[in-house]
Amino acid sequence: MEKKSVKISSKLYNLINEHIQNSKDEFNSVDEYIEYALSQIFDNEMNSQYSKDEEYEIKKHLKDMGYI
Amino acid sequence: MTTSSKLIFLGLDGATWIQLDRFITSGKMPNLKSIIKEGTKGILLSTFPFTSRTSWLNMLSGANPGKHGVPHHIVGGKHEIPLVHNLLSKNNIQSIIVNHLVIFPPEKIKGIMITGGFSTPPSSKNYVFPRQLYDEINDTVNGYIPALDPSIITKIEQGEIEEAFQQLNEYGKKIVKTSLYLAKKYDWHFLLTILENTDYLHHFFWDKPEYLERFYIWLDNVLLDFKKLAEANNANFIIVSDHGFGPIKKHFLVNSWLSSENLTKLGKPNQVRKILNKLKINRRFVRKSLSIIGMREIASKLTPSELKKMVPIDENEMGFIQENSSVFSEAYNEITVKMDNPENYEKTRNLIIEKLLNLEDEGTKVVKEAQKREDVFSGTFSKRAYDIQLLLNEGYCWSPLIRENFFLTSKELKISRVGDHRPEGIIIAIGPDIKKSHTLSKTYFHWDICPTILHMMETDIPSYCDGNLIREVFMEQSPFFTKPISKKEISEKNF
Repeated sequence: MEKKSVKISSKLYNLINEHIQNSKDEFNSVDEYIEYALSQIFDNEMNSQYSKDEEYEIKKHLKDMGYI
Repeated sequence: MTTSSKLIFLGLDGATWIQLDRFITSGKMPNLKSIIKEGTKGILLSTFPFTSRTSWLNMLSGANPGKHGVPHHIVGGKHEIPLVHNLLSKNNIQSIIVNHLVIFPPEKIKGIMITGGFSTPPSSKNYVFPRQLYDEINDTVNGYIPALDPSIITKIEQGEIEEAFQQLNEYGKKIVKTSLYLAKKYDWHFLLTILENTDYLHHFFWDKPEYLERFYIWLDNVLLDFKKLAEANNANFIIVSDHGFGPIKKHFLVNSWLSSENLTKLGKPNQVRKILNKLKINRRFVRKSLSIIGMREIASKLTPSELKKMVPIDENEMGFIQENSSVFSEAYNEITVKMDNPENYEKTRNLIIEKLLNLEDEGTKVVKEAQKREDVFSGTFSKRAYDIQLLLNEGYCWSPLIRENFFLTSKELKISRVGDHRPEGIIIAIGPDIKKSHTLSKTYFHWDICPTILHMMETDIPSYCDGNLIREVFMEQSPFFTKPISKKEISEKNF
C-alpha cells in the first residue's frame, strides 16, 4: 500500500516509541502504531451510530437496567 | 435463491427453563407442552459477560466476541463480521426480521428489517428497512414501539406495577402482531422475531408470581400462533434465549470491594457533595425533579460537566471512580485494569482473580469464575474486551454502585431489580425436519446456532465460525441430518 508522510512532534514520537518498546503490543514501529490509532479514530467517527441525544437515551437505559 | 426450506426463529430474551418448566407443570402452557412433545428441547449456554448484546451476536454470527468485535454491553459497538441475515442476503434468501436487538440503524438486506430494543433509541423513527414500510407497520399496530420507554422503570420504582406490566405487554404484543402480519403478506424464507419483554419481566417481576403467570399464559398463545404459521408454511420453528435468569439474593458492589482490598483508590466526596448527600440531593433526584417540570434535557445540555460532577451519583454514595483510576468496574461482570507496565498489569490481574475466587459472603463463595480476557476470547478484536471477565454464583448480581458494604440486597440499595442473568438459556425446535420428543444429549453454545441456521438455509458456513452444526436436532429422515456441512474458507479479518 502506498504510504504518505505526516509530521508529529518529536516529544510525542519519543513517547510512542518508548511505549512500544515497553509494552507487549504487536506494533513494530511508531508508523504502525499511528496508522492503527488514526484508523480506529477515523472508523469510529465515520461509523457513529447515534446522535448525542440518542446516545444519552441508550446510556440511560443501560444504567437503569444495571448494566453500566 | 438456493433453498426451498423455511425457518421461523423466535428469540425470547432471558427465557429460562426455571419459569417455563414451572408453567408447563402447572398446566398454564399447554401449547409449549405439546411443542416440546412433538419436537426437541435443550439448554443453550451463554458466555462471558453473559449479556444480551454479546450473546445475540455470538448466536447470530457463529463466533465469539473476539471475532465479532462486541465483547461488552455498553453503548454502541458494531459487528465486524456478517450476521446470519447478511449471509442469507448474499445468498439471495429473503428474510423478515422484527425487533433485531443488536443492530441500529437497520441494515439493507434482501427482505425487511425492523430494529428495536436496547440498541434502538425509543425516540427514533429510523428503525425500518425499507423505509417505505414505516407507515404500513405503524398503521397495522396503531403505533409501533421500537423500544420500551425508560419510564417503565420509574413506574416500577414508584409501585405502579400494573401500569408497568401493561406497558411491557403492549410492547411485546405489537412486535408479535407486526411479525405475523409481515409474514402473511410478504415473501420470506427466514423469519426472525425477538421478544425483549421476557428480560424485563425477569429483571423486575421475578418475585411477582401473579404477573409471571399472566405473561406466560400470553406467551403460550404467541407460541401457538407461530406454530400455526410454521405449519402453514411447512417451516421449521426454533425458539431460543440469549441467557437464562435467576433470582437476586445480594448485589456484589465490585468497586467497593476493590477499594476495601486496596486494589483501587476511589474518589472521596468533597464537602459540597457530602452536604448534598445529607440533603438527599443526588443525580437521580435532580433528574427526576427536572423531568417533572420538563426541563431535564435542556438542563443536562446547559449544565457544565464540572458542576454535574459535584452532585452525588446516588443516595448513600461513599465514593466514585476517579478519572485516573487504574482498576475499576464500570460494565456488567467486568473489571478494567489499566497499566502500562506489563509486569504490573499481569501481577494485578492475577491478584484480583485470586482474591475474587476466594471471596466469601456468609460462608458462600461469591465468584464462580474470574478469567483473563485472552483466556475466554480469541480473535482480532479480543483486546476490546475488559481485562477481567466475571461470572458470579447464583444469587449474586454485579453492581457498579459504591457503598460502605459490598454485599447488599435490592431493598438495601433501594432498587427494583430482583432477577439477574444466568448462563443457561433455552432451545426448543419443532417442524418437518426436527426430531420428535427428543432432549439434546449435551449442552450447546450460542455460536452453534448460526451454523445450524445456515445449514438449514443451504448457505455456506464461514470457516471462522467457532460454532458447530447441531445435527442431533434433526430427524434421521431429514436431508439436513445426512447432508455434509458446506464450509467456506474465510477469515474474520477479511471484512
